[in-house]
Amino acid sequence: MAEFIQYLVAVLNLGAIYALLALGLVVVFGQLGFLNFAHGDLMTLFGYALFFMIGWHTPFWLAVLLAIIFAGLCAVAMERIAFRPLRGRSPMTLLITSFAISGALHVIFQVGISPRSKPIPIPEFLSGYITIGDVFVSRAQIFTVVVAFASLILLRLFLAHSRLGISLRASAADFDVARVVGIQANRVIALAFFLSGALAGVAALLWISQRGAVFPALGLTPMIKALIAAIIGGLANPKGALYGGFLLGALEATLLFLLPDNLVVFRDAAVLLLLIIFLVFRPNGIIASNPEPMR
Amino acid sequence: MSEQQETLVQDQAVAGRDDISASRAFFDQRSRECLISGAIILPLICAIVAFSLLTNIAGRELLMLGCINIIAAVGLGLFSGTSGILSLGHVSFFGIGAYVTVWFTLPPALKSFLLADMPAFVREAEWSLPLALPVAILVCLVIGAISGLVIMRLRDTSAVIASFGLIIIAYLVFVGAKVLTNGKQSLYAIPTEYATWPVIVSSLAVALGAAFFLKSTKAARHLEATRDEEQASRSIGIEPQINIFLFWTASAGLVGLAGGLYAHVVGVISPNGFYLEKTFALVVMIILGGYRSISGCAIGAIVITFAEKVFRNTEEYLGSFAGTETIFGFEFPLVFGLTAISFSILILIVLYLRPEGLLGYRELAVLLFKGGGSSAVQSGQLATPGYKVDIRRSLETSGLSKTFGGLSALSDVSLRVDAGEIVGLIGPNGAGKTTFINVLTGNLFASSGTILVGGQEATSWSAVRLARNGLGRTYQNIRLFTSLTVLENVICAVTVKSPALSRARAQKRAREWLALLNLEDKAAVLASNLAYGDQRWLEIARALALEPDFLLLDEPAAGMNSSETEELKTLLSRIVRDFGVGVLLVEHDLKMVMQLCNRIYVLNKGELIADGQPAEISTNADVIEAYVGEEGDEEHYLGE
Repeated sequence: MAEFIQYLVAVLNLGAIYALLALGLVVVFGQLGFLNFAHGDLMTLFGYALFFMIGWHTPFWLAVLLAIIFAGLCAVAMERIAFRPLRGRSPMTLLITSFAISGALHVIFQVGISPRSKPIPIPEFLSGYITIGDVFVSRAQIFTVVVAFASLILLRLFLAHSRLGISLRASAADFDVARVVGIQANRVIALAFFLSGALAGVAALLWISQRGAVFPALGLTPMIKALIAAIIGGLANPKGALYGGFLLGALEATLLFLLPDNLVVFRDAAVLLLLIIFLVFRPNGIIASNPEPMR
Repeated sequence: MSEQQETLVQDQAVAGRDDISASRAFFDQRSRECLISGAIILPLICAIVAFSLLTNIAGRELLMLGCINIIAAVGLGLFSGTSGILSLGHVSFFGIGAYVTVWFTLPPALKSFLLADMPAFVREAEWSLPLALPVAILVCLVIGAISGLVIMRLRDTSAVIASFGLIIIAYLVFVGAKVLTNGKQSLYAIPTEYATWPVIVSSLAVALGAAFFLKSTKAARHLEATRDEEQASRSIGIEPQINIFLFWTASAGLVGLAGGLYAHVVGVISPNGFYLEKTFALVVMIILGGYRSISGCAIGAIVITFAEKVFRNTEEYLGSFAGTETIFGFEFPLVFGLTAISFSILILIVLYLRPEGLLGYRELAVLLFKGGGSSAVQSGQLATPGYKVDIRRSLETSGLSKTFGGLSALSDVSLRVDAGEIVGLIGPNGAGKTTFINVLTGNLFASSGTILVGGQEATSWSAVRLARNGLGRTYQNIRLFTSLTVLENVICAVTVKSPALSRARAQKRAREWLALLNLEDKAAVLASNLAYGDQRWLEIARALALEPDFLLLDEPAAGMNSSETEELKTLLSRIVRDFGVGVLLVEHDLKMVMQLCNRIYVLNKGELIADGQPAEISTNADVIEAYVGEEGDEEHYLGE
């Protein structure tokens, strides 16, 4: 029983982070039809922003808030500088562009900041464990689950009820029609990128709160898994990102519990392999992006 | 002599002349371009290498790495260019090729030190490189085939991400499988003396030969067709998955060969050498050169090899100041990553300014020798032996329905087309005519009802199977293979219909189809550059080249002027008369339908409301009601 609760917390914990990341990817995909490879670097950008602000003695929560906004603005800047000149080109071109941007950012982090990890002091209340009956659960994990679900609910409310959120959904459903009814493409796309950056920031906060450091390739591993999770969920629908993210979380937690210690190094490889094999059976994801597959 | 006999005699005359030209040219245009490009590039590379060695411009190692980069880039470009899926995962094959060759060539004494736990028969092996390379290629082909089973099901973004997943998996396995790779530590003292010029150059020749050969095949043309317009490619009977699988696997083998050579040129390998930086380098090579062309990939590899050397030298030069010099009061930083960031920026520059790369997606031969091949076909002549549809063939639907969600687009449509007749399908906008064609040709699933092709139950057949069993179609919104020439568009269908036909003969037959539709002087034009009316003609040519029993035309006259419409009428009558094709004509030009069709069906709101002879239809009250009711203020022609 104790193990099961720990397992459940691990699933929710990992799943929530991947779902946030995958959501960020899908929000942009809905507008421009490509998956942003530099999404992981937005996590890293959040991490460095947090690192420097804490270094300047900003209170932790203010620093977190500012860093999330910073990550969102970085995403907007990325769109403005790199993707907007390529508007209208094939998704493949945009994908490769984001791949190149990600590579450039890696080097900038390495040379401009440091190739080594920078420690981020985590507030007292996030370290340590609490006990529920006879079960130990790390506070950071509980924090993650709470924050992630709060963010998901906030996002849901935003998309469902705010004017901006509705225009975002309309534009994702049909870009051209949305423009015809007067939704400004550039504003909606900027909004999508801001949301995606902010979601990456929240995910990075949760990721870092359990690891306590930031380094140039911080975002790489979570991002590649989130990319595949997004595809597995189905790119057409934000719900798909949730399914994909939690499926991935469940898979990873299961392998973590099942794999013997000497094979744990292969965990990520096995997770990726299983995800890719899953795609063989449902190439269009759990929520198929194309409801009418070719016969 | 009857008209048919006359045609036959002319056919024989044409065929006789063709025998002579066929013996002169076994190749079609595509193979000739590939052959000539290969014949230019290989000597060109050898000349660059020899010149650089003699003049000492570049060292031996750099030149060898250049050749290896060419092999790898050509391998990657072969898949990515042909399929349009830019793979980020091929460096994993590069790594596998490197490790596998090294297992066999590393001295046993060293292996029992570095890789003590590996299987004994490998540990004791001490092979030469030419012996180990085929093993590495084989391993890469096998792993390529396994991963190809996944990739072939994915498209666009999903395929790229999956390929990126592959490189991450490979990296993690390289690091984790300490028994075979020594983990993060490197394998060193790899016998570099094995990497001799004969080995390198013959590998290069094999790789270029294989790549250009594969690019010249009909499989490559079919895959390019799928890349441009998958739905249309399926509608002429091209099965996309097998071609993606084939090219993925073959390119894995080529990149593996490059990896095996690489290990023996540099002498030290570690997982980090087969990861993101190498991926960037390969991607920048093929993007820079223009990744749809093999020549482009090779030239991109040459340029990037030298550029990388310059970047690295600059890095080292700047690095020598690190910590010792100051600029503006700051200590000079240790510069690294200059190469990586230059590659990133280079990719961005190419994508912004010239996305089709240096060679503009064209092979060298095309750039150097402009102009198409000779046209030996007389206008209107057709030598398609045996294309005569069995008069008993029929295409039938009964009770065919299609719902989208809760919306009924077609309900209970029963219709029949016999060989040798033209049947019209008309109805107001939104009546479900295109949906009907899409269900009938396998682009959509039927919700209920049956489709019979020649009496055979075909309701669940795929678009590919239907196309191969005699259903040809055109699209209302034209779907051509835009990056192929007019001629190649038609060859695609010819080679599906007659796979055994030699390349030259397939090309000749395609020219004959073009001649029939008065397109032969535009054979060498890219399909995307055709005028709108000609695009419609080309779609019909492509569908006819499949030699279908039934031709389903979705508003072929849309956008045609009146003289073109007249030509279309003549053509349709002719193909029905000459080949006995059954035509299902969906058309808004009611005058044309009334004149051409033997029978007419009328669809309204997804239901058949009338069928019969043109004269009956034009006086049918329901039909008039449907048209007038829908578009009351427009003038309509419903017969004389």
